[in-house]
Amino acid sequence: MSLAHAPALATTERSFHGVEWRKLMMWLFLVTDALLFAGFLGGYAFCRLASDRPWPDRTQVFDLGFITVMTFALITSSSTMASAVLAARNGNRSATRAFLLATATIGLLFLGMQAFEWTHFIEDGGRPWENPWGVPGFSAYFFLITGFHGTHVLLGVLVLLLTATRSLRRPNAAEMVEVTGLYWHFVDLVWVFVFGCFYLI
Amino acid sequence: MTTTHSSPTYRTYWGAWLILLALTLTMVYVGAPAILVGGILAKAGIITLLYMHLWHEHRRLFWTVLLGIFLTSAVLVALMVPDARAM
Repeated sequence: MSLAHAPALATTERSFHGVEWRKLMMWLFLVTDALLFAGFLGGYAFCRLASDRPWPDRTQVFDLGFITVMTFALITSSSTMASAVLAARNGNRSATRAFLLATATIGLLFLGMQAFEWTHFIEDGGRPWENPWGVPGFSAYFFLITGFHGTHVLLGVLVLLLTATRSLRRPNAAEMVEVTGLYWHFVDLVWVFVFGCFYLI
Repeated sequence: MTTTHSSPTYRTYWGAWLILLALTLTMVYVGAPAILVGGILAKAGIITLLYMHLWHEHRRLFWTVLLGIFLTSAVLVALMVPDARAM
């Protein structure tokens, strides 16, 4: 470690051992939030492994092509978000705003598709306590896990809009966009596990 | 480290986007268990290490996040899976 780096790694009002406070706090929140979803998916796995009745056939219940498009939407929004962080770091305010708004729009698209999927699921008889496909835990975990994830997406869209409208003129705009980006990427990260564990296995 | 000689560019991010799409399609259409687990881990790796810049963060933050999540998840699996199978 050269001396030139030493001041940046000190703990100051703005940073803790060289990591900005806001970013560090967001990371710690994301770790705890990840453990929440780990608990949900662990409970789901337990329910499924311990079930004495056969688990419902996912291909009969879900339109996997539709879910794949939802997954593409979220992946794409992660790329526009990463681009927003890069644009903010380069000081390009209009590009940052455009990328943030694109990310929020794709997030809304995802939510709309999820609302559509839930509508079908409920019309087909899926309830948090029972469903026509068999084990009640199947629909219980469906609502719990996709519901919590969807709530995270909704909050993410609101945070994106706030960042695009309020944070960009501030001197620490790049940091604010980066912290917002961490949260948004996390929402995509959770979906990787939900998509893999719930829809593909 | 936050400043690095190999900072990602737009090209890196959209290249990663293509890889993520390809991984997703492979997982959906091939669907073998090894492909699914590998696909999930590869996608999670790209998102955390590249998009969330975890690879370029301070090493202490890197290990705090990684160990925190992986150790707890490992304990969760180790305690729950044998019980679930025994039921």
